[in-house]
Amino acid sequence: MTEALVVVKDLKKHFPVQRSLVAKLLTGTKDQWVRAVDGVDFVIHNQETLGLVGESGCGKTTLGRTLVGLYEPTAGSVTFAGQDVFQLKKTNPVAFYRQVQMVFQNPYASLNPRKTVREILSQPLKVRDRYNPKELEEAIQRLLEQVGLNKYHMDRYPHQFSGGQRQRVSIARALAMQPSFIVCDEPVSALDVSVQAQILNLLQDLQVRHQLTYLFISHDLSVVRYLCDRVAVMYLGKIVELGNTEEVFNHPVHPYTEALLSSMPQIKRDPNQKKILLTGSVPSPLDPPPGCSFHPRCIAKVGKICELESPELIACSPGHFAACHRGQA
Amino acid sequence: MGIPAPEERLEEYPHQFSGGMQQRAIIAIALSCRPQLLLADEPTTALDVTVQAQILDLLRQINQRDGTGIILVTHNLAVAAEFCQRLAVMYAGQLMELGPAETVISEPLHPYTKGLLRSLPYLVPKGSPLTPIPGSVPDLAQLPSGCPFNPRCDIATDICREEAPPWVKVSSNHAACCWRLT
Ligand SMILES: Nc1ncnc2c1ncn2[C@@H]1O[C@H](COP(=O)(O)OP(=O)(O)OP(=O)(O)O)[C@@H](O)[C@H]1O
Ligand code: SF4
Ligand SMILES: [Mg+2]
Repeated sequence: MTEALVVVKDLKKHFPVQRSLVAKLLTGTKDQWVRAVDGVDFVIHNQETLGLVGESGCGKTTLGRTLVGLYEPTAGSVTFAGQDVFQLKKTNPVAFYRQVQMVFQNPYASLNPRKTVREILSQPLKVRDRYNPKELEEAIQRLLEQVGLNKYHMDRYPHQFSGGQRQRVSIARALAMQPSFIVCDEPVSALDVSVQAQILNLLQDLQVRHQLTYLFISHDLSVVRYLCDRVAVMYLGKIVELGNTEEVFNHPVHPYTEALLSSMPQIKRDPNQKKILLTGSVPSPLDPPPGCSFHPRCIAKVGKICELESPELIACSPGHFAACHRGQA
Repeated sequence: MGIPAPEERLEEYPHQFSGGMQQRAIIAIALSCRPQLLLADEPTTALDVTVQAQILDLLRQINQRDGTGIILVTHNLAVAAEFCQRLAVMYAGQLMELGPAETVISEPLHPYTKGLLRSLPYLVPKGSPLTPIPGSVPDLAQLPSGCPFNPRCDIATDICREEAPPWVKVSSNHAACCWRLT
């Protein structure tokens, strides 16, 4: 459990802002960069579920996509079981995708509408192994059964499925390569709570059966609290807090984490709980503020240092890390 | 709407916006015509909870200041519990329960409402499985006879499979559509 499977070192992913030539000539500005992921360091342990939460647009999907080799890092590195992800993907893509897969944020858009489930699932299976038609048929059937569908679903198109079934198909597609690490980007956000419970049970079941490691990206903090062993909190391209889920939920250290947890909608109202409504707008990832990028909205600022120096992510107790000058004397 | 650097980003395409930013842009469009009734279909689903709290706060202000009525459609029971005065629970195209939000959540009447609440990960210890409602939503073109929920209901009886259930009022403002309440 404590062995590191994925190691992320000072990872950066910046996107150029594409502007029309005319706009460039008119405003005379130079090219700008969206600093979607801006220097993150962490590890994911073998067979754990690491949650990733944070502000909309803070770079969670970008980070997830970079971990599975869909984006080339601007700087820094991601290693998987000791090998550089992007190198491995370039030199041996089949070996790479046998280990690392992603389930996407939007089950409606991530499956090709013109392909049947049979076609969607044969593709990765054929890449992985040589099958004769009968074996292929059986392999597809086994995959469908693993995710709670059956062979009658094989010749249907994605639009003939419900949201939950479609998410099962995308999970089956990820499993087809028998990976050991899966990035799940909001796999249950679009589903009603009963179907969500089915998919979460399925993910946990598969994790035990296939010794899977997950990075689980979600806005639903109650799901993260239930599912994840550890949780990482991201703000404007950086990880600001990381630790055991219960520890972070019970004793948040970073002021952004505090605001996030206090905003969590509650099914049972707790009259003692006060929401910390963040004021001001989210700073631009084009031009993040100097010092701590949370300082313009922080209600706990400790002084000038917050505006000048970027706090480092350091341990505040064993296994619990935060990037905040408060308490880092 | 809280989208950073609006001028620079005006010229970008939706796919370059994160999920949350796309949603905020849409809400901005809907609010620009000051409607009397606002149908907000999953307005905060793609958003983190701090932005969600800001947007719900904004909708609440519009409701109180301009008297705009709001129908909030959501999967998120906690959002419904916090934001809404009244809660309507729908299943397979039909209304199943209607009442004050707090009462529906704390004392649900309909087996479907109860099933939804049981599915939540709230207070379930790590590692123990969740409890979804068995089965799946029926095809709207081939609804079962009687109560549409009967094939998935743990307390269904013969009449539930034969005849459509009546509305039963348990108080002046809380009612549900179920044979087992009669
Ligand atoms: N292909 C791209 N080109 C340019 N900018 C991009 C691209 N993809 C993402 N961005 C920008 O990078 C930032 C991070 O986006 P990302 O999708 O990673 O956020 P997120 O944390 O997943 O957000 P959400 O919670 O809303 O899904 C945003 O400012 C977004 O507009
Ligand atoms: S470093 Fe300063 S500004 Fe940043 S979160 Fe901590 S106290 Fe707030
Ligand atoms: Mg995302």
